Amino acid sequence: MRRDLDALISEAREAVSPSAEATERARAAVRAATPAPRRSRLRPPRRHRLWVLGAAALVLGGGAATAAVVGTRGSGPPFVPAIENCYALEGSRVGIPRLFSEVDVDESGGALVAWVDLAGTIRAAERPASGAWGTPVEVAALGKTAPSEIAFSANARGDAAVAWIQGGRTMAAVRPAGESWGAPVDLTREGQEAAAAGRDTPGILVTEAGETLVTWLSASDAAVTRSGRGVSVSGELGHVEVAARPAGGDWGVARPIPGEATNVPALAEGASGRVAAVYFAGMSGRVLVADLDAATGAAQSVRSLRLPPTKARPRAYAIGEPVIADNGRGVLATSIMVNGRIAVWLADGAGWSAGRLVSPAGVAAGDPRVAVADDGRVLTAWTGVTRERRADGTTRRARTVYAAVSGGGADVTAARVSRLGRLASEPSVAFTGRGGVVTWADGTNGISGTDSRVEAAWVSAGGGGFERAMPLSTVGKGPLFPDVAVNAGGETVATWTRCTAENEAVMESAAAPAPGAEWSEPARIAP
Amino acid sequence: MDDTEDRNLILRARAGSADASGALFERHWLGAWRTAYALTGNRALADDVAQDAFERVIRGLGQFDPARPFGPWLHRIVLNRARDVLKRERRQTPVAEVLDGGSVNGDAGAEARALLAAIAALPKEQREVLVLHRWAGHSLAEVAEIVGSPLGTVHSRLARGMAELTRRLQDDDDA
Repeated sequence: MRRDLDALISEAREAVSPSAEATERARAAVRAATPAPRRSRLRPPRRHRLWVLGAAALVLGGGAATAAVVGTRGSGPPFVPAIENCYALEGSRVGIPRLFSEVDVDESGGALVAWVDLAGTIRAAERPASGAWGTPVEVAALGKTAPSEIAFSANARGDAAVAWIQGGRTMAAVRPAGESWGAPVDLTREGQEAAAAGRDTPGILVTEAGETLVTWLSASDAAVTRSGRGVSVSGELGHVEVAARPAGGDWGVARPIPGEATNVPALAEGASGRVAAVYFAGMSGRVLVADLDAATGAAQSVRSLRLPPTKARPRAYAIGEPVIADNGRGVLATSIMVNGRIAVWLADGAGWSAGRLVSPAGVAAGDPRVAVADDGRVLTAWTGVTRERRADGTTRRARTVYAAVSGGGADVTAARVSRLGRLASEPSVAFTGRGGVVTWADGTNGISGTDSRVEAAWVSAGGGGFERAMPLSTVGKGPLFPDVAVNAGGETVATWTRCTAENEAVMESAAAPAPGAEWSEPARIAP
Repeated sequence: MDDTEDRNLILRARAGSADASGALFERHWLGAWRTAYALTGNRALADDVAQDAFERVIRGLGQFDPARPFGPWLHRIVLNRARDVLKRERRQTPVAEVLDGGSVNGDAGAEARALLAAIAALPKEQREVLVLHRWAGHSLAEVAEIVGSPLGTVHSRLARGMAELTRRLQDDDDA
């Protein structure tokens, strides 16, 4: 290339301009289009309405690109802003949502949830087994520079950690079981810049032994071009960085995984002190699994997953962001959208299985979630977009949550778990040997409507099917971003956020003592 | 671009001030037109797209939250109008017309024309992301909102677009 591409683009941009005639014609048209003075019927903007922007991005997201990674947050029908929704922001859709929560349940049945509130403060709240949620504590006050989402992980004994990307730096804070949250630590190496590609958060894992690993996508400062408030990687696709903190120790210096990457790896705990990081390798079109040393984060090996054949696009793949889960006993499952189908791989110590398609053909599937039970069975949930016919003969696009149980000798049993005629989104799954659960947000206008609620379906005790969907939350305004977790004893906790009748954003939860049991009434976590 | 000044102008324009609408036009017209030109690759289409987008924006100011940045909103409408127009025209971006761009002059013009031709030859999704980010100066988060795709998708499309653009310009050099 002859010269710096950015300089050439800038020069070319300055070299083109509209004609005077076109400018004058447009100027006159704009003046003529100015509305006559009238009283605005719109309410003053509220900060809460920033929510809808992210909701729009999440619901609109997922356009398939050949051999490119697409987001985890699902494809589907277009988002329709609802002015009466307290998160709705009239007109503009540009902005960042907050208040996504992540929850985990420890071996005693206690629950821990972390989130970023609307003031830009990372908070965490605890609930003892069968008790009430305690007052949220502040993990880090970030203000306007706060990210929209954080990554959160906890192990069975209650060690927990959060990580986030802020201003090109990867930050993390840890909380050993029974102690307070430590101060945030910058994990980014000098000369490197974290790029929030894909899931917008780092990958994070707290192992059962208490080690904490954080992964992110990075590029050298020299390859990063800043533009406006965003950051982009120019000239290289970036690579994966890993930072590790041994139990009770300090963070080690971040180290790279050799090779290119285009999305932040997802982490899960494998066998024998190993951690698996799964990610997409960009232009090569390969999905990679790196085997990491849990104590140091050093990559021991990197292998490629074989993608299952699909009828669509036989010569090229559209690939979603990989997700991965473990069962605490070294068994791993990862799930990826491949050409509109959901594929699942299982690793049980003898290596990775061949990819298996669990979603049916004819439904544009995406946004997978995966969980592994003690016995090696895999619960996968995803959203499927179909076209439904109305009574008047017209059609509309609908988004439905599907789920399947596979592996461990079980047949694939893909089933629709959310109701027809609705827009379901944001699936979340949890699975143990005693059963499992799928949660999602449901509404006639997706997560932006005024008749939205969180619903859940249990995996039946035999593991062969799904029970009827049950509501967890009351019906009201969205959006709702549910997350669900279960411990080995089957104690299950779901959390979500929503808009009250008074147009305040709140966080709520529901719990069940065991899979299949009755859910509690919604409980308020915050504010 | 000063968002506060935009906000004041939007509030006044919503109240019916043609002067405020005119001031908004003067502040954003050139950027909107240049974006439309890079997206369509055609001066006449860029004139239509940018003017139509501006008219829609002014008529729709009542639906806009002035606390939010104006530029991304305007450029989203520019993008949608460009998509509509190109679809209506039932053709790909007319590279030949880009090469005849009448306002690209002087020594800089040859390279600029080569660049625009290379941009015009990119796949639509890559071209949109590259134009909005590198040409119009929007952040990747803003581009993700404008094109309605996840940030990861935008990142990937940009990386591919930049790689492809570099390759095409190198091909030009080698030719």
